[in-house]
Amino acid sequence: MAVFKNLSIKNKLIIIQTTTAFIVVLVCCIFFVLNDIKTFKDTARRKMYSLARIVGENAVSTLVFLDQDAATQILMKLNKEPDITQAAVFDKNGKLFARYAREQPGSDKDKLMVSYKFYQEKEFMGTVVLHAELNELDKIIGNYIKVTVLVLLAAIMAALLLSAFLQRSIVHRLLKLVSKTKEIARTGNYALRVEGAGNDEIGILSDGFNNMLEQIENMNRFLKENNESLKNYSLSLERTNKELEEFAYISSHDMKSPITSLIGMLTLIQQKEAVQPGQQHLFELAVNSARQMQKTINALNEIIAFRKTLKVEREKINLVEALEEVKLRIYDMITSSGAVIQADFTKCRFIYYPAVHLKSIFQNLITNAIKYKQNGHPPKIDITTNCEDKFVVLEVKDQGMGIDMDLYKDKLYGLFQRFHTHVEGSGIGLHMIYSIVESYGGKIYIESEVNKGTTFKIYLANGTL
Amino acid sequence: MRNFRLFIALLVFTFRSVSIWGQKDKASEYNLKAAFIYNFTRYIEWKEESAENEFIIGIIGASPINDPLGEIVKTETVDNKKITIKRFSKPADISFCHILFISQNAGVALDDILAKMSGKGTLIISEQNGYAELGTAINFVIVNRKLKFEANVRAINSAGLTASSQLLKLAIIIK
Repeated sequence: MAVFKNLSIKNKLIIIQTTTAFIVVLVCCIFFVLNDIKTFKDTARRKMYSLARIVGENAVSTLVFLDQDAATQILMKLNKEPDITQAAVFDKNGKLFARYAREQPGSDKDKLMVSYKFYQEKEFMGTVVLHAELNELDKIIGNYIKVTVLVLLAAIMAALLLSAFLQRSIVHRLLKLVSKTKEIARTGNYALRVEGAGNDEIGILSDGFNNMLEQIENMNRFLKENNESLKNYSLSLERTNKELEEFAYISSHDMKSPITSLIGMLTLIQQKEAVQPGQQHLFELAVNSARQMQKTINALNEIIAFRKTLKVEREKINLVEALEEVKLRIYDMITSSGAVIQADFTKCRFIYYPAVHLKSIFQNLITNAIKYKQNGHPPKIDITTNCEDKFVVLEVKDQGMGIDMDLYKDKLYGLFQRFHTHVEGSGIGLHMIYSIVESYGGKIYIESEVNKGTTFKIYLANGTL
Repeated sequence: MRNFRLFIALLVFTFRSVSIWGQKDKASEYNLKAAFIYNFTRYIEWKEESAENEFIIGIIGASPINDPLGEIVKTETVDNKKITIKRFSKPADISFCHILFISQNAGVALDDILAKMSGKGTLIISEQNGYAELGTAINFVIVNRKLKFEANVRAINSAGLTASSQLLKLAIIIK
């Protein structure tokens, strides 16, 4: 059946029609042959019966005069009948009176047996029994089989011719539909249409196909137009964004020298002791404000500079080496704070990542951990890595002062967000880590408890070279 | 009819012993002869004898056939006519009868009987070898220990009777 399923419709139709014709003709032939065989048998039986009747009528007097020889002679005359194999006359007591057998009984193919009871003046005299073989039947059946095979062949031929002729009206049109589908799939030209539909199922199919094509064409056009306007919109957004970035850069850059000179002036004024003694306090507030401003402007410059470095090429990095380099950079900070850094990269030694950014992440995490240590305790930092699917999971655990997650959960990554004001800081560290990790498709999870410590779990999207 | 059936059954039984014929069993031989004589009536086309309303079987000479034939006659009919048996001792006594059975023991010259009965429509049955050639219509003979009968067709016809082919085919035809 699976073979049939994969046949082309053309062949399916031919097979269906031919099989139908074959079955119909076969059934008819079987019916006629069986009927003819029955008729033949009936005729043979009738013939046997009349023979038995004639024999019986002739045998009456032999029974009356107890003449077995004469009865046997009557039966012997049946040897002119080739079908009769045995004949016998029984008297009225059922006793065998005379018998004739042409051949040994035994072969019982198509045996026919007739018996005829004969009477004399309503007096039951005896029975004639004839056994016959239908020799003719084999020949007749053989002939029938020949004829049936011929008729079947003729029927199959006719069905094949007829179906080859008729299937054109179905298959030819279906093939047209198929070739049109292929052409559209190849060229992507949805403006094409199937012609010459008609009103049957294939016509409906063609109409449906045409409707679908029209819908696809419309949708295609709509999508193209939409796409175009989206592209324009994104281009203009990009331009605006660039302008804004430019503006931020220029303004923060341009503010750098005025604030530097302002602080310089303020320092000069202090050195020249030009401040009235009573106003010293006010002056110091002014100096602090100016310094604060300078710090902010510097941080802004740093951020802008950092943003320009995003989207750098990935490279294969040995995590141990990267950490060592970062530790060298902030050597002073580590030694003065007495920080203990324990790193275990045995589970994941390498990562494909932009080196600048990986080091920046290391540096920010370590400096944060040192900055926000608990008073009186040297900071202790544990760094481990883990490989998870497409990520390298970097876990940095400190025993610092922690972050109140209930209060600051939503502000953690904001620019200039600060959670511990008593410590020196610009509030850009976490923002930078977040920007880097997100821009490469990673994630950050923070677990923290106040006065217990913080654990950063950073999923770095591991690239491949 | 019922009795006849019984009788035939009995006949078939006796026929078997006849076919064996171990020792001459006169009784069964005559049983058979009586049955044959009665059966002949069915295969002979009898002349329409106006006055007769019975079927007469004549026997000339003393014979063991008397008793069995008497038994048959009690119950059977021929063409719906009752059967009567008449016994004669010499040819001069013989009156009309449909069948005349000449016993072995008749001791009468055959010629006399034939002369007397010629053309009267009587079927003459004898039981002596050579009698059919001499002119009796039917003559019982024993062939291979079986009871057979000879038929002289000319004699039958000259008596004005016709024998059925079914009868003649069983007979030894004498010309």
